[in-house]
Amino acid sequence: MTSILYRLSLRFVLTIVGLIFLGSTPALFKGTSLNLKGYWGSIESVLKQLIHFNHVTFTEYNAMKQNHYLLLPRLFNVGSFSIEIFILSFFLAFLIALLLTYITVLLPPIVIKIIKFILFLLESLPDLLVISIFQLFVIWVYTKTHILIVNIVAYGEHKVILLPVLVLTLLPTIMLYRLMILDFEEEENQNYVELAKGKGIGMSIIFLRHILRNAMIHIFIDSKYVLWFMLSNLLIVEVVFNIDGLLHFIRMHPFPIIISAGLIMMFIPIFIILAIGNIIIEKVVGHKVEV
Amino acid sequence: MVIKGLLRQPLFIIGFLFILILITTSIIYSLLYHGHVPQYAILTEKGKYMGSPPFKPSVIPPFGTDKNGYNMFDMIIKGAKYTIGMAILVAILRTVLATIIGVFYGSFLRKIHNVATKLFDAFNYVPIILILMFMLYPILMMDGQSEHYKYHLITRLGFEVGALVLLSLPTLALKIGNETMLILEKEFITSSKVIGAGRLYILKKHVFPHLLPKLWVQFVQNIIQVLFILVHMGLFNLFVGGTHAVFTGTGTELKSSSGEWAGLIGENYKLLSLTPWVPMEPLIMFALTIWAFNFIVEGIKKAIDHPYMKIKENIPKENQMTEKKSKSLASFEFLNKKPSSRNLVQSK
Repeated sequence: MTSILYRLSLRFVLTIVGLIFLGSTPALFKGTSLNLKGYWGSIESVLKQLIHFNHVTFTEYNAMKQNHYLLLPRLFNVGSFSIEIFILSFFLAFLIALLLTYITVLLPPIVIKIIKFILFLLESLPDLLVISIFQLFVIWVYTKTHILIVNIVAYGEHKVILLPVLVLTLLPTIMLYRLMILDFEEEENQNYVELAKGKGIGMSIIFLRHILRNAMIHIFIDSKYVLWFMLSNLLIVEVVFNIDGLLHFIRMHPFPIIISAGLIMMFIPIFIILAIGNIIIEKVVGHKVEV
Repeated sequence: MVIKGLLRQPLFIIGFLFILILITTSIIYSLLYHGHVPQYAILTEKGKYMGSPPFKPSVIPPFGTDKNGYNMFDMIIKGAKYTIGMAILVAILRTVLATIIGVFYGSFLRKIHNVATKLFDAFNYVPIILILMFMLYPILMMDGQSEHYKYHLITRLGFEVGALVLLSLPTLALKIGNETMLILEKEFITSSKVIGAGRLYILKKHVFPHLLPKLWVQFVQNIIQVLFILVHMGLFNLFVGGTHAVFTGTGTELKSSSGEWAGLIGENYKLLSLTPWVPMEPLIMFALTIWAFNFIVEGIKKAIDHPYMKIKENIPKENQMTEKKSKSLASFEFLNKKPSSRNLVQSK
């Protein structure tokens, strides 16, 4: 166990260093020429500011007036909302995909093949297209029936939650669903499944007791990619629905300290999810699993 | 050999033909009309006023016009070569550079592998488009006041391509480096070393041939990635070749200076509820193009997996154990085994 904690903390520290390097990229170029000195200076100042993080302020221009605000409470406010819908969407997507996969593996092979192809097609849709289809659908329903199913854009005090979560859940569900079917099919060809079938055990029990456990490793490794994919979805969703979220906030305030701090804030919950998954899986499987 | 295998894959042929036709028509269009797009002003029929732009697809088939009366179909055909060309160019540079760096890294820099993977892991927790935005915004945007770009077209394009390549290079190079390490651990490499082969010889004769099919898959997958990024860049008003700001009576209007698809999305996305067809058409074209390239990837994968094409597979270390086990178990089989035993279980 010490070894996995050591590995995870090393990963945690090194990734944060990497994020700080990434956060200073706006200073990397001066015009079109490389500005390594400025880049290094920016990294240094970010490190200094991160140490005294509760004193860091940022400037906002409101009605031609410069206003200084403390960064910490603001970042926390916008961040908690983004992280909430992000994690909610991921777990929803994961559970729905798992449930669908459970139903799917019990279907005849030809149906599975068709489902796989449809998912393959759906997976290639740009997220912006899916979002626009959702928005157009809501507008179309409104013009036909005068019922506004959900708010499509946030304005003033009105928050939109349902539609962003829906959009943010849909695409990862499709991805995870397809990846899970592929992983399960790979497991299905293993000999222990054959043996279990030979013993006369029903498919759904084989699925729950045996395949699920073994396929989890692959699904877990795939999840990391899905989470990364969801991040850019989150940015698009925040911008299109005009949500006052973390990534939208970073976009409007492109200063190295805000980028670095914001990215670290987004990274920590994802890391926690992956770390817990990693620990559980290593316990169950009994050997090293690197994500 | 490879090409023959690919031609047997219907998915590959469909995808490849779609892209080929799209690019050729786009080039022919530019040669014929010199990039001129027909514009429709007020429509009249027998002296009666029939409407003004934007026109719906039903009025001006097949795709309608945008709010300035430009024919969307012509614009999409015209823009295809820039969008797809950009994606292919970036993907070529990414794959070639990442291969050079990755193979070097995999064969000489194994000691830093542990640290490097974790450090560059940061890229997996960042939406790349966010970083790209900060890098490209000052370069690509036209100054709204003077209506002049700060930089020359070639500089802008070069910088954009450079940024798109640079930001994906660490992850891709690590992936290829990892592959290289796996190949270098194989037994035939050891035997080759025992016979006296040098490092470069091994790279050329053993590592590269094993890497090549995977590189093809990587290449096309990178085209798809770039297309996804271009859609996002379109939303954020970062267009290939530069974002053109034009003052009109109602405000600043943003246009793509090359006329590629991302520009068609960006300038019209705000009008989604008013003129849904204008931003939707380039988005759908993006989706179709990504489908076509995904078809190509599937085709390549199947062609590689085809028994005639198989060169030794790279099995990750963990799986090697189960692989051996299954081989010894597979020697015992029922003679009258049915291909799918699942049906038997289910009917029970």
